[in-house]
Amino acid sequence: MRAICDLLIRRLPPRGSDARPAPRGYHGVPVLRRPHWKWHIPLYFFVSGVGSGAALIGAIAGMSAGRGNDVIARRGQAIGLLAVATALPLLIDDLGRPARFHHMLRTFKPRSPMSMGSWALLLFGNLTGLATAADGLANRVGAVRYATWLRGGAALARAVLIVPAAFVASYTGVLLAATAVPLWARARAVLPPLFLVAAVSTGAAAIDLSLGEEDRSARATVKDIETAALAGELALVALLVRRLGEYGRPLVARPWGQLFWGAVLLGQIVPLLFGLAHAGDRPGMRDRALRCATLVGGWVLRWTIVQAGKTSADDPVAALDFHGGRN
Amino acid sequence: MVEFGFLTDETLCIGCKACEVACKQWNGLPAESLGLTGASYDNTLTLSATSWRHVMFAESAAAASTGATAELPPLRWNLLSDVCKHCQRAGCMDACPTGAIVRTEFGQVFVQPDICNGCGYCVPACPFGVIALEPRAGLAQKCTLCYDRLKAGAEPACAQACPTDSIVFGPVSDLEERGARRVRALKERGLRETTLYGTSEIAGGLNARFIVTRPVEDFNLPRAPRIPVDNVLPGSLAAIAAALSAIVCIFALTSGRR
Repeated sequence: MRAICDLLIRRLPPRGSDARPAPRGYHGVPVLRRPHWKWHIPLYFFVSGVGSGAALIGAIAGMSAGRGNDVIARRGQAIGLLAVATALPLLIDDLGRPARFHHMLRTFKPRSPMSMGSWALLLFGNLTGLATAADGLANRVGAVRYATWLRGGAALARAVLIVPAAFVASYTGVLLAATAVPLWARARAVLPPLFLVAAVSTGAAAIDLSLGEEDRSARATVKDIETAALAGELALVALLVRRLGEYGRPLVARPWGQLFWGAVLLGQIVPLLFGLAHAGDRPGMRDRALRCATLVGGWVLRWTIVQAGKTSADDPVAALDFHGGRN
Repeated sequence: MVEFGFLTDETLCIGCKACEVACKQWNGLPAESLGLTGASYDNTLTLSATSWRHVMFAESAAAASTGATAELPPLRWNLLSDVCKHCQRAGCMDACPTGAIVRTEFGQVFVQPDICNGCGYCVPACPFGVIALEPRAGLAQKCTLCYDRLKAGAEPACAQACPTDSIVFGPVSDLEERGARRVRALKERGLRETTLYGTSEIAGGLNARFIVTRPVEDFNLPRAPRIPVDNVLPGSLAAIAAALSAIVCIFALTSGRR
């Protein structure tokens, strides 16, 4: 318990009067090197979050007994498949040598979050594809026996999907944490849960937007999931800010603070408050707008965390402090 | 297996940049900048994808200096030729998803140019800011410790070019002994702050070590780098805990309506 508290919220020890002054560095030149990622990678974090969150919700809905769960299951896996189809071109185009993208599958390397993420994405894409194809075929074959088999196959693929879906939703947080960048590495135990919960909230929003007016119970269910996820997300944002302390300045103040807090307000607090205040209402047009706000909030959250990490990497004082024992 | 590395001594460096030039010539690397940067006599400022040796011109107040006037404070140069540290626990090698970054039979950390696909994840994973992407080749590049020269029985180009033996190449165990001896001698001569940077508490030990007479931060060297792979376990445990809680919550919320 103590160890978990340490990892999640322990503040930095104050710099004592006897300690060395803040390190000077070399002519203000950055100690660390920022990643080259432009918009591809933050967009990938968002898209893979939406897809894996939706697929995770769909996979669990497919196994539980609530009304309207079958449509959640089908939409969830379809959104997951669509997300993989969008994510792969983004990832490949970001490489210095796109033609060598398959080198990602040369090794299986648990030490490297990017290696493990590649394998998880491969499994995730194949399982969502299999489940979607089996469901689609089951609706077309005439013989009842074959349709039953195909639906059984789809259900099995969805059940297995829970593991890679949860992995894809959270490994991006581990990937950022496993760098030398102070803002990301300091948040090593907060970023993975935050990215997972943001994947669930945006995944639920995406499923809701894909449902029609007639799927009332399904829409009510995903709305509940989104509200719960947003509550968790807000709590994790608070933990993140507390845990980061002075290393969080690029994210909570200049230069990314306005965008970050705007996303927290409009993409998390507002949809959460409406979700709580109108929990039992019939879903209407206002709900569609709120789902869009959650999605935009999820995108800006990823964008600002990635950009603030780059600013953090450029700061030699933060780097020498973090890699001088205050981490 | 005998591991090889560098010992770079600040007190012997005269700032001639022969190491930079020899490295670029041998490895076929283009010149980057010959302009003034405003940072003393430094042209390139950092190591980069195409500068694998970099002479730092740190300036510090001298204790007792001749030639100081009221207008000009007494300054002295602290010159040090920076290079890839070839860490025992190398952040870049842990991060690499393709297995392109390996440790060779000579103990150096080497990027295989035919395997690297330019994903760039090694770049923020280096706590020394050494490895970088070369945009034209689309590959991550850094010092190879002249792997090709070692294969042929020669020493690295920078060490051969260094006119003062500020850069020495050899087996790491020999350099460790030589470094400790040199630090003792310098301390006896009054340079009390002299340290050997790169012993086992720095990234598991560096194959390229440095003798410095100033606080290591003056050369942008982190005092106690946190190795990125050490964040994988806490991050993964937090992810698993969050995933289990999320799965239970979603299951509860999807079984409610009947």
